[in-house]
Amino acid sequence: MLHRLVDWLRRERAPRGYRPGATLARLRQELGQDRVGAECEPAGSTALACRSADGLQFTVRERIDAVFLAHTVSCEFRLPLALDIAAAAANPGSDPARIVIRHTGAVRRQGIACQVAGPDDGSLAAIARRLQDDAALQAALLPLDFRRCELRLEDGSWQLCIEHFGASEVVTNIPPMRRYIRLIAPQRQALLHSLRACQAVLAV
Amino acid sequence: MTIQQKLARYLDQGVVGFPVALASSVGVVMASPVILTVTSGFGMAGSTFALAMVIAWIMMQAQATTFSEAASMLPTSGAVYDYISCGMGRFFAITGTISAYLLVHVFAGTAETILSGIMALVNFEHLNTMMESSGSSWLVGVGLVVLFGVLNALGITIFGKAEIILTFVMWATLTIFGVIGLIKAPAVKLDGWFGSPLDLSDPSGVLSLIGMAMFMFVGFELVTPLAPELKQAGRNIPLAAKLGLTGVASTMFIYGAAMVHQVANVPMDPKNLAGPHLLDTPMAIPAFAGQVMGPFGKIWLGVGLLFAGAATINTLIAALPRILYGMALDGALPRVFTYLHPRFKTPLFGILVAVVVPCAHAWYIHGDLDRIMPLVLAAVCAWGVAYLLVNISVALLRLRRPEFPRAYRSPWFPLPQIISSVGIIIAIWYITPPGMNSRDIYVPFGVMLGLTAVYALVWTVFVQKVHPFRPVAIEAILEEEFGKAAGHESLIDEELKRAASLG
Repeated sequence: MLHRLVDWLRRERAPRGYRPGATLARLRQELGQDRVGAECEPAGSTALACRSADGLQFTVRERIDAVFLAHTVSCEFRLPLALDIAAAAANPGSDPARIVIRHTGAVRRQGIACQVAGPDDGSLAAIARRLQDDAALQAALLPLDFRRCELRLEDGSWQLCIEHFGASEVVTNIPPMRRYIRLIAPQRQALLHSLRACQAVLAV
Repeated sequence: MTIQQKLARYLDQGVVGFPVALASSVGVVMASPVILTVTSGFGMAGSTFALAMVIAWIMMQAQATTFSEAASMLPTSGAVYDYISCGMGRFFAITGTISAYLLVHVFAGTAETILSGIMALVNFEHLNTMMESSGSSWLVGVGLVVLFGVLNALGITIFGKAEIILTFVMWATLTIFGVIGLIKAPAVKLDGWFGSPLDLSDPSGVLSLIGMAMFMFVGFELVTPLAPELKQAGRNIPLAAKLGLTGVASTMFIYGAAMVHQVANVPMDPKNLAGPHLLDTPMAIPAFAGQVMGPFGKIWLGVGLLFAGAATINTLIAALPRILYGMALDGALPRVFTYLHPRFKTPLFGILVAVVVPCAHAWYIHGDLDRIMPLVLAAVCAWGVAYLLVNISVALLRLRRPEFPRAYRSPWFPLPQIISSVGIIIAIWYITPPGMNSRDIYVPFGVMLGLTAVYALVWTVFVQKVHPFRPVAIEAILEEEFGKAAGHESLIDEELKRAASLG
């Protein structure tokens, strides 16, 4: 009885009021608005497969962050990268390696910093330096309101993952409300520039 | 395929099932102000308060149909802001939105800030005596707000994993204490099931309790935006609202009846019989817990309330700044609200506002417990104004744009809008319960609403440079939201595709 109650409590379940795919549907509309935007098609209930006007292919997935009496649904943009550094990351028993990209500056954004987290034989550090020193990537990422930006090994391949502050839905019980936070045009463009710039740096 | 056929097909193949709708319609049960409101409501008026709850239950159901129609017609990010913009213009839209989001936070957030610490502490006698002697027990809540403000500013979020468990434990706690309190032999001799018997000799007495009763159901309207994607929305929205509201009402009825069965509502000061009574104060909670389960009950309820208070405060601090960020993107608030800290990626200005408002307010009233219920009722007024503006907007849109496609239509129009609007006006007009000074409610509410209206007028005329009272065309909002090529019809196409991919 107690076991069943514990199992029931521990069971993975979506927060109440969550609408799978609704945030992505809004994002899809927004991405399709610009001439320089992207056409997206659903790839499952909580993912999109997108292609920009200049051929850049990326996916978007919904992420849910629940707190008591509220939750946020945000969108994570994923760009597959052609990096052959799987050996360094696949260190058993430790957290997978990743490169975390963040803005620098105490009050205003001054630049970007790229740091390796987890095991590394030096190859990731070299990539992090290349990313950090690239002026085009820096110019693209500087205006971008991202919450998280990192390169990580997922499903056997390296991906650039960007979670934007916008393109998200906030649902709260007190005060009771549900609100989609838009991904405005300048941010859409900065996001696509960032994906392109990262792909260009690592293609060299 | 015509747009009506598309709508009919869409409604038939909705992707969200009834259980999701039902879960979304159960409002906030365990917030400290809600517990105190139900305790003092039953303590003050017994069966008369139960009748007020039934009236509020009917009003909320009528309101649910209005929200559902608005959400299905304008499924936009602006929600309340866009509904009112289309119905009544930008001035009322800004006033209504700030009233619904910010003013409710100003009043209910302050009540939660003061109460969360006090309601938990009163269950721990020694700690409470120590804090009480210095008159600083309300500062526990302020400390929690500041703590969660700092954590959120640093991008640290907690309570994420515990959401479901906390919700279940809180609901179970209230129900278990309520059921045991009813089963146990009553400690108080009562004239009626809920304490004092139904008193209809003075109708204004019932009306003055509707505002308090409305607060029980805060949060139920989360079900309404599901209308466009709910299976058989026409049947399931009212059913989910009915069952959700009934679930909350049942829990509150059980808890309220148990409370008045187990705790005598004696005056706090025996020399002042007209002064506050035990059930008007948080001290009723340990008295009830001790009566039902002894010292263990006090610890259980104390820990539960502390967690619930902390989690609720964390929610306010975590969610509100994001909403403010979105409103600033829409041009309803200054751009400073879109500022994100370079390193932590958190909306610092919004967090600062979310922290300072309840703390400064709590400080201003020195955590005075006698001011809590007026704050809750001022929050109900702010909440009611926003509801009223949405009701008027939906009714005006029905009259002005009867042909506009709606995935869900409020049945028996305009009866639900009249019921909820008249109910809200009566609730605000008679908001002051017996023994309370109406100035304590109307003055802070009026001042805040007045300031909001001045802000809305200045913002629309001088910043947005638009006619403040001219309704915005629905198509303009949808075009702005979904792109120039996408009208309402293509939006439905989009939703159909999404439904197909899910189903």
